[in-house]
Amino acid sequence: MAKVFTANRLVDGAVVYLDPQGVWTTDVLSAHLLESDEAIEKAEAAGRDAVARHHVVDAYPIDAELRDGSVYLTRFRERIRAQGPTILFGTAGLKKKAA
Amino acid sequence: MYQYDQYDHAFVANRVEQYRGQVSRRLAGDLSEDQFKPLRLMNGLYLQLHAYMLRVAVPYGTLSSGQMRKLAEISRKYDRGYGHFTTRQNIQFNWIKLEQSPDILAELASVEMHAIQTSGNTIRNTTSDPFAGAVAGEIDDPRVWCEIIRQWSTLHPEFSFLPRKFKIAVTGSEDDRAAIKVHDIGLALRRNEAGEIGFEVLVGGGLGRTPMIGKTIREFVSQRDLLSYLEAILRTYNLIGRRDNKYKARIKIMVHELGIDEVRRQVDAEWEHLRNGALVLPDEEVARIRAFFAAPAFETIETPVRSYEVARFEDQAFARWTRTNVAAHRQPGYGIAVISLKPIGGVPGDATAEQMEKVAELAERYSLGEIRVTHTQNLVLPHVRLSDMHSLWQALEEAGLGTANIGLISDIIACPGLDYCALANTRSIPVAQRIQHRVDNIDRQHDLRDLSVKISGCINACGHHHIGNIGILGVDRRGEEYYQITIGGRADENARLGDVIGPAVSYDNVSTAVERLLDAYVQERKDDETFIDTYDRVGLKPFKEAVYVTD
Ligand code: HEM
Ligand code: SF4
Repeated sequence: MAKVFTANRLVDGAVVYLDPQGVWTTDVLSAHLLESDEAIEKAEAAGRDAVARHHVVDAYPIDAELRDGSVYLTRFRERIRAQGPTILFGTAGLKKKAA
Repeated sequence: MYQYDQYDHAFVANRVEQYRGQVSRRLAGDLSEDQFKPLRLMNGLYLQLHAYMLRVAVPYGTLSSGQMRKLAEISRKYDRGYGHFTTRQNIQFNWIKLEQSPDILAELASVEMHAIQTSGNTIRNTTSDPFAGAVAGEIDDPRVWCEIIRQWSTLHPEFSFLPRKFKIAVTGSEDDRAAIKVHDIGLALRRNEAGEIGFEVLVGGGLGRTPMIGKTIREFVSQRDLLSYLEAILRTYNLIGRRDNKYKARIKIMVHELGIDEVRRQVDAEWEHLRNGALVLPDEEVARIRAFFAAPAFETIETPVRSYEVARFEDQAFARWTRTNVAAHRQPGYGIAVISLKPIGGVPGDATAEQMEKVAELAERYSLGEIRVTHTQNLVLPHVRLSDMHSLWQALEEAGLGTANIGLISDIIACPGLDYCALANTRSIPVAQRIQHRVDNIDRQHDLRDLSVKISGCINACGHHHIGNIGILGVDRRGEEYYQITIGGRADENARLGDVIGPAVSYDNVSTAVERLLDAYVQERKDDETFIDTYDRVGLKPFKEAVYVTD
């Protein structure tokens, strides 16, 4: 299965993905879909490097595929990581109840 | 309330500066994540799914209105305008930036709060009865003892690297609102035949992957001996507790493997050396701490309070709220008001910055500035004049905090689950919301009487599912969210683990399964019986049949 490389950004913990230019982005749709072993190995090296240079923590590969032309993360956990909680929270949660 | 002395202030301030240095070294790349992680965890900072999470201790669940305002301010300034109150009398902020975390700790220190020992293999925040010092019939104020334990256990050099986390809870009442039987050590204040105050000591309780109910190791430990006895338990555990396997490292495993009699023998042997040493608690020291928790200046009020009774007679919704959310106070003319953080369809335990500020304001106006946090993820105003109760409730209603459901089915405990937690198998919060929507009719909820539903998103059991009348545990079935249901658990002085009813059900079927359990209860119950009483009488069978009907 194809992979995407993910991590959390050191300074703020934000979820980030490795893009085709080797830059960490918060936009999952810009993530580089890694379809060959060679591409995965290269990304792994980039991940190790970013961890070593203290830009990100916990870099790891996740399962992904191309769906309707976009990167789609196959694990539910990773989709929640990408999109945020599935529930409304904070004042948004209250507004909904009032409505 | 306890107030920091010079030593406490200096210590916490020092700790913040130390941490600030560690964070800047980490950001500069002088510390690796492996080196830094234990340091941030010692200050309550976790890395979760979406960001860092900061866990702040609310010592024995007591907050001043000023502290609550500070929590609101922090949530607004450094997070997304809300916080999550947990089952261990902590508050968690979910969207924290590492670079700002030292500033947050400095802000907390300014109101005598911190996040020390809210994580890691140490003695954690000692928890207590949220009604402490207010409830009728208490043997002693447990917070006095929690504070003594806090001072003894904070940065205790011998116990900073235990085999595993260690949790202590204290109750001062016969009714256990602190779940002491599922803590590593549970302390219940007792009076002996001579009328002296001491403690029944339980050990080896806990939830997680191997749930156990604590066992009594000693019926009565006197006040003077409390710390030496606790130290003897901790030392015994520290020496023989298993470090080879983190799943077996809790004291409950030691008690289970050796048996309580052998553990008692070993603890006693250790205690012999400690008993008359430096840990003897001098009466003056107890008195000094006790003074911090002296009862506030209550007014002498004639009872019954007519205006309260009239309001209850005239306003049905208010009357209903008082039935579930108001408890008897030790002082005539006062009541204990519980503020539900469980509105239908909300996130159990969450409060927005505005709500925290509203609670702070109401505490100042109606509760002598005091607030409590409960292990069921609600808040408490402990000292409310009955004559103010109606106005308080109206103000709560306006702020979305007036839900009349304490102890009822919609007062659900739920851990953050997969919506936030890096360890989760499944979501918990939306399951709670779906169940709430099923029973959103408040009259129906009252008709279902006391009924606890507790949900955890994985085996770690942060949502206490084992001790829910209905317990729900999220499990992963080939990437799908499934939920194992237990019934018959209870969290009170008769604490007991629930029984699994059958195969796990899918996310879409959980609330239906719960609905069927409710139907079975209503069908089987006699007179005023609660769900748990009915279960005790009729057993698992009718409930199981109701859930697994083939239709
Ligand atoms: C989101 C971050 C959290 C993480 C990473 C986390 C992690 C854990 C872990 C690993 C355990 C199992 C410990 C063991 O069995 O040795 C545990 C237990 C527990 N947690 Fe959490 N937890 C989190 C949040 C919470 C929350 C939000 C609550 C309260 C709602 C909570 C309350 C508890 C309780 C009461 C236990 C009890 C079991 C016991 O120690 O016997 N935790 N947690
Ligand atoms: S029970 Fe599991 S999912 Fe829930 S908060 Fe604890 S560790 Fe996370």
